[in-house]
Amino acid sequence: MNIKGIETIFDDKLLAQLPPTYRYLVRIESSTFKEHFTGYRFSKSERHFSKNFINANAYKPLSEIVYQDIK
Amino acid sequence: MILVLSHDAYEQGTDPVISWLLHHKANFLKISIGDLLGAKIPYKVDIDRQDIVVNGISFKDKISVIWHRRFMGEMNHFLNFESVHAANLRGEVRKEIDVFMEYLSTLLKNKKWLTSFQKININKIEALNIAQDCGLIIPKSCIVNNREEALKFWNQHPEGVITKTISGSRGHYIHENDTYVMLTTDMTQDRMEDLPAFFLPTLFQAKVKADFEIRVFYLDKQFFPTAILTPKSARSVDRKMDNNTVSTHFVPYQLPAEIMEKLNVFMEKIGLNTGSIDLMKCQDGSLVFLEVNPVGQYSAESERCNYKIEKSIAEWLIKQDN
Repeated sequence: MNIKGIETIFDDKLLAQLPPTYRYLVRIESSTFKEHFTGYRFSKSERHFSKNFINANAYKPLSEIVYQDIK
Repeated sequence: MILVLSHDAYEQGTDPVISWLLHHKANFLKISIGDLLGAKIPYKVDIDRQDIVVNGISFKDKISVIWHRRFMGEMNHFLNFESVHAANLRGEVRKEIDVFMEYLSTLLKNKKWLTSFQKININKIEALNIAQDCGLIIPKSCIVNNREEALKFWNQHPEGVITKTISGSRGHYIHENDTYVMLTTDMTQDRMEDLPAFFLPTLFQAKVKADFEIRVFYLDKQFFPTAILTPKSARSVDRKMDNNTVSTHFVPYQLPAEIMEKLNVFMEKIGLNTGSIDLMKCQDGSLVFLEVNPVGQYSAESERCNYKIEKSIAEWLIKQDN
């Protein structure tokens, strides 16, 4: 994810009507923003009742590592 | 029969569960808001008989368990009107749909739900108080509308202060080649001093001195906890910015029994039988409750910790159906 900085796209007049959180938006290059699923190839699956379908990823091998606190 | 209420389009938390339902040859039907509003399937709501009949299937007779996940997420597609009266139309049509959906949920209230219709949008601030009542530690928090009070809170917390939305929603805005996302914001001294004298009610929280964050997927008293480990030097104020970096690692985590007991009580009190719970493991060893998302994404934790959460959800649904 290519983060370009913290800034806003809203002008001062609009910002005055919005909570302060809108002043500090994280600017990310869209093609690297995973939630847009850019570059993914979708299929469709009637069995899944889905018009945009991606096969789930394969699982990684089991590591058996469990992180816990040892006192 | 299992009824799945979810997206028509891609929804990363739904499709893998459906794959397992297919694998187990489960009897299920998936319906999206598009199916109900987009004239895709014929259905009838029989008010006299208090039943919904979709494709000849009587929900009253056939459906025993309902998985409700991001069903209303695509609603806005049906509220795009090109008219000078668009704002009025949006409000009126939205109200029609909301009342209709509320009635449907009433008709199905006696079914077993995985996230009931009424609990899909919990109040995250109220959730903090409920967590506190259950003996969980929560961050010092306040909602203020003015710079003076915000600065006072900031001065009381030398560890730092963050701000995030009250509702827990996370807007994003696409502009040219970039996307602007609203995440948790670190309120530095400059930012605090730049605040206008008055503003819309805004949530401020004291920063938690954390070693790492823990994401717990909760399914009817089963816990799937994941420690998200990021070196301090590479850590952002919002974990979402670190999720896909090479220095961030997702590993299974063993929650203390006492915390699991408290979380069980909390989930019961808030009326949720599933959800994604965010906790912070503090430097002093304590665990701080941040929030619960009734329909949080879980695939990253499931995949990286080999939890197979989607398989557990599918098997839970099948068990309730039998």
